Amino acid sequence: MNVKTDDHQLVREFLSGNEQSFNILARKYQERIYWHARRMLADHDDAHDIVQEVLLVMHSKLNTFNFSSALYTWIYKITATRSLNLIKKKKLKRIFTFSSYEIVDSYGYENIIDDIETKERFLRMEKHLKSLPVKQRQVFVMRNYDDLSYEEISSITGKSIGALKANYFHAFRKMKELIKKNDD
Amino acid sequence: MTTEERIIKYLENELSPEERNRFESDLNNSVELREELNKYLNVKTETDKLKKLKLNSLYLNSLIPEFRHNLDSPKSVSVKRNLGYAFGLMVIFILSISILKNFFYSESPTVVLQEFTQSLNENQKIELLEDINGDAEVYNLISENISDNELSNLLTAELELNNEVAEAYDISFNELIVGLSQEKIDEIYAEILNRNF
Repeated sequence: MNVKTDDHQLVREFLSGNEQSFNILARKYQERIYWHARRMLADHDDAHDIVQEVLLVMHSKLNTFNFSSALYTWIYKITATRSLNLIKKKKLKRIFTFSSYEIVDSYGYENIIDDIETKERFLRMEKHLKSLPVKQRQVFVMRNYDDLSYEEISSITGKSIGALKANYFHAFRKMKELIKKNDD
Repeated sequence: MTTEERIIKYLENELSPEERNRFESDLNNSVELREELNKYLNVKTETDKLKKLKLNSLYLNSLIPEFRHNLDSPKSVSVKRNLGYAFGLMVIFILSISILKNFFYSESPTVVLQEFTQSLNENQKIELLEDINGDAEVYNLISENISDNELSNLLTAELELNNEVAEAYDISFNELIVGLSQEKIDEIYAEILNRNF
């Protein structure tokens, strides 16, 4: 049995009333949801909120899931949309409160990563990612961290593969410059 | 295709076999190309190191219980936040109305003055004229905005109260009687004669 049919089976069991099957699905995807949201939003509290929100959406909307596609694509679509919405919401909030882009580098709850060296490397990369435009950041995260193909990213974001490749090219080039600048 | 495009396509496995061979051959012959490729490889290395990052297990294990708790607790509506939104909307609405009103119904000082003079009763108008008597410019402005008939009525009323006021205003008798009926003129004239002689 492959991942897709495993997931589909769990969804069917959940839809027939087995809450334990939902817990298995949640446990399987919660970490991926967190990291995608965290890399997009660069904030622990926001990423945590997205995880909770996505789990709630999964729980209430799994009855609308179309079994012809993979469950993780469906979950990514919800996660990506919610993350982008939160970025927009925060941008609007900043405009109306007349605050600058980020007053304080608030990474929140640092203890989610145990190893200090990894934590430092992560925070450095998070800062670089944050300086990318949202569309470029999204495709860079999906390609390099989530290991999604352009076809999968296209089905999640609704963007053409050509546009995604162009965004990825710019993101990659900027990340190269940012890392080099940081190393110098 | 630029050098950067070639490098990224090479790393993404998007070059055709011929393009790939040519790129690798160029790599052997060009130090700059190798250096540039290394910079991109460095990005890949940095991201790969963080790809399999693991969340702290305590935190990870707290996510589902929290979700279950959220699922079971009734949805709470943030009254305070909604009141805040309502208040904000109300302020914006009032400001918009006042700005639009000023924009569409902006009145000239003359119109405002006309409205003001029309709102006065006879006694208030007389007082006002007495006050501004020394100020010819303001007097002209006021008198321009009151019809001749109304001005005559004003002065007549004032004359009835105090027949010395005509002298104070330095207005000729002819000016005062404009618009008055002959009967009224005779009556006023007789009154003045009776008082003074």
